[in-house]
Amino acid sequence: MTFAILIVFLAIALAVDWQLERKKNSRRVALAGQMSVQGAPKLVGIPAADRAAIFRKVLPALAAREVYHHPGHAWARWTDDDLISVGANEISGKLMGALDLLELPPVGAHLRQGRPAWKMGRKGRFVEQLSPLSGEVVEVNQAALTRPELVNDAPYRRGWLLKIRPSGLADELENLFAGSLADAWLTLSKERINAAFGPPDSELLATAQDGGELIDGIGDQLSDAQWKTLSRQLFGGR
Amino acid sequence: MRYLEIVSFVKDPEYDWPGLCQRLGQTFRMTVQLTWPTLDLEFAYNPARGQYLSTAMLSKLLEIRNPAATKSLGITDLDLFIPILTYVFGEAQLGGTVAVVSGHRLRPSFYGLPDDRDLRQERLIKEAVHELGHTFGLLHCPNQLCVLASSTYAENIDNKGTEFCAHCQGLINDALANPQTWPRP
Repeated sequence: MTFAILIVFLAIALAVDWQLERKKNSRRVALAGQMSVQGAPKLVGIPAADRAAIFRKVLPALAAREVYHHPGHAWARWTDDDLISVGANEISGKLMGALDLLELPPVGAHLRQGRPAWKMGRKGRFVEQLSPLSGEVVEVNQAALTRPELVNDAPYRRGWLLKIRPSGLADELENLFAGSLADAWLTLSKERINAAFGPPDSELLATAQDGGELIDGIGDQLSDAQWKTLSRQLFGGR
Repeated sequence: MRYLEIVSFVKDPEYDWPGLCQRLGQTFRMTVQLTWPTLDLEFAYNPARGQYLSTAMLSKLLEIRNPAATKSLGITDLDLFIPILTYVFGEAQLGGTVAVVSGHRLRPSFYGLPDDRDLRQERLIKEAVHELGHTFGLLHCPNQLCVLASSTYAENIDNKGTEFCAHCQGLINDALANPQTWPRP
């Protein structure tokens, strides 16, 4: 009798454990299914407050290595809990070359995604770069202010510009690119820069190339009209 | 009859020319003719860069190519560039008739490594197929295994395959099946 009770108890315990494991797995599958191609999850159907909590608690560890690009060629990346470093991406740096002007907002300023955040300049040409995310500025990179060339030399490392405490991150992250989508978009941006130089030959019309990196200060080779058109295409704004 | 003209500006016995012709002929389903014109390429030299402007070489190819050829591929060992890039492995007229590829940076010895004839040949084939793909109007492919994936460094060439991905192969098939959409030679 005791042996039979023991068998029944074991069977029930195994069934409960199996059910719990199944539920856990199905939750994992559901979350994986919501991952977008950018690498950022699309948390469709989850209340905003819950989404924010997931981003705060789960994603920083997951996405810490990832650089997220804004269509205006600024980038964002997690630094530590609730803080995000932002800066100008490689396209901005290569196009502008070594900056001779960098104006950053002060600590405490509030940035809004898609609105001008900082000003970069070289040889009398300026770009007001759009903020990749909304949030409060909590730190300014003094090294970049002292040595603006860092923005071009090490755009994703020592050339970061601001650390911000994000607001509205859960919704705004979906406007950024990362991973293979970012790679494809950066390649397209390079092709757009090349096209800004116009047809190389009246008969050739358009060409495509393979190999090499962007040279520093590409913008120096553009006429004022070409610069104006290209900077509006790449950086948006006015 | 459609055919691919390979215009070689280099008589390098280290290249497996028959192998290259066979491979390109299979990929693009064309007969291949190899020519070695005598031409001084100094017109494309840029002293400030110490390199040769690949776009100028494309323009020259348009002048000297056999108009009966469907596509013309120039092959050189000179170091090529375009104004915005530090160097290029090759360049092509998008949806056009001419392309050029350089073996200069495809040699392992350029990077201080022991020369490897097979590796250099494979890189040359990949870049030749890549640039000719552009002449059929195809853009860079986000599939990193596709031969039409963009390569910044020679290692990127090694990482991609020698074939088109299914999507790009479909576009090439469509283009080959509809010669009326090709630019007039």
